[in-house]
Amino acid sequence: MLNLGIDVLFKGTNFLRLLGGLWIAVRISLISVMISIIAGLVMGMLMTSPNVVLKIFFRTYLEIVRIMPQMVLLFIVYFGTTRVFGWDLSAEYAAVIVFSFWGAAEMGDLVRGALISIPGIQYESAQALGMTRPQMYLYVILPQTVRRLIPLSINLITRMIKTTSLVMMIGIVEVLKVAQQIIEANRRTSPNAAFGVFAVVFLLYFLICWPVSRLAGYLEKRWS
Amino acid sequence: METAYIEVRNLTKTYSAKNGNVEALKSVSLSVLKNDIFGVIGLSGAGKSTLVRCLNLLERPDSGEVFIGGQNLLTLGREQLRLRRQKIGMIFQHFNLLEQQNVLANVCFPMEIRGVPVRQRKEKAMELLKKVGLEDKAGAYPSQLSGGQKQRVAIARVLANEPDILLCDEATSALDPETTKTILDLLKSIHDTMGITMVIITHEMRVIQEICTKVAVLDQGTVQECGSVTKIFNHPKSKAAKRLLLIRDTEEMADVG
Ligand SMILES: Nc1ncnc2c1ncn2[C@@H]1O[C@H](COP(=O)(O)OP(=O)(O)O)[C@@H](O)[C@H]1O
Ligand SMILES: [Mg+2]
Repeated sequence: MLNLGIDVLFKGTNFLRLLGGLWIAVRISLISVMISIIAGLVMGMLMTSPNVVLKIFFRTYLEIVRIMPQMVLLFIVYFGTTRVFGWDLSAEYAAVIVFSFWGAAEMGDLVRGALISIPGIQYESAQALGMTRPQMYLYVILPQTVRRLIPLSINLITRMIKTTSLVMMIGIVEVLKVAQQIIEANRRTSPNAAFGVFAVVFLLYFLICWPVSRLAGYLEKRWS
Repeated sequence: METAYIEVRNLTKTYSAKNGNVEALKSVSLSVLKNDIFGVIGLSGAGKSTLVRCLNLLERPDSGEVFIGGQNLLTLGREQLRLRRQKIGMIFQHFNLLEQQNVLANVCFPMEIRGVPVRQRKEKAMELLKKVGLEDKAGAYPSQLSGGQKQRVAIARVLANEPDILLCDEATSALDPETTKTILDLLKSIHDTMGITMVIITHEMRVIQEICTKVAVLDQGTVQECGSVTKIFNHPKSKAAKRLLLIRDTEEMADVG
């Protein structure tokens, strides 16, 4: 029978190590997602401003984020800061900085899109009803913005979680890294381990991303 | 002479667009008496929406004056203007209901904003829904309603503020002719029972014919002609009025044929 090497996972603390690695990945994602959402909300509002300087600034920022592969950004932040500033930045911090830098830009663009998609007539009919400015935003504009925003931002969050595995490149002991270590350690006894271990890693990512993307699909349907 | 309830003097408004400026209003003056149903008609782009939005200062004119009930709106502070606006109802071509809230909540909404207690506002909302013939739809959501029904909800909602003026900007333009007729009948009965002064903006002569007592013909940002509906329908003087009547006649012929 073909040995897929799943058994190596249950040797010693291997499975716990894998879960621990996953937790680091999830923690990086969660912290970055939180920073991105808050920074993105502020940035999205600033992005709708007619101010030319702000416009050019955010346009450039967004272009940089979209053109540069996250891996390059990771290397720049992790190794670059050590070189240039002599900072001893932990890989986890570097990852949080890069993912937040990226997520905030993408989130800001989503918020901007949601805000400008609210037709002017919505502001006008709220004002015609004699609402104060805060009432207008709270009861009319914000609920509509959030409704458009939620499915889109969940999509972004899923992408961020998936991309966290890139962190392996700079050596965080994170899921794929742990997986690779397990595979290497058992290369002799269990040569097929790579297949089984990566299958489990895939499954773990799936278990995290699937409910998030189902939730996204559900919210999208409900609110479209 | 009777004093005007709504009076605008020498309103001008210019929009700057990429390909030059658009003079949406060029020195427009009008007066509407209390209890009038005053029509403003013109082709698309004539400046009708700009004019009506100047009446509650959703749009600030570049120059000119807006008097409502003798009060110069342009001298009001932000808060006074907001409170005055609550009494100037406005309905639009697209109904702008809160899609996530049911009909009852939509009608309660302006009262909630004003801080009316829950029981009182629900009672009042049901009364208004009855008035617009939708008391059985209180629990429905806007997406479950037809265009005509949505506009009825919008009318009930606007009445919740007990306005003394109602501005309608193409309120029936998204509706078919039969539904248009029923909405106009509703507006007429609201006018007759509640004594609300109305300004009806439209590009359709039949709307004017149906409910208005007076009409102003607007073309390229100026009032071409203004007076009683019968007078202008029977003896149109301006080119713009003649053209609009011609459009109506062609459409009627198309309907018959
Ligand atoms: N916010 C705006 N910015 C630029 N141009 C505008 C704006 N609103 C209206 N206009 C222009 O002003 C003119 C009158 O518009 P409007 O009052 O909406 O006409 P109507 O309601 O009679 O169709 C049109 O030429 C229109 O393009
Ligand atoms: Mg218009």
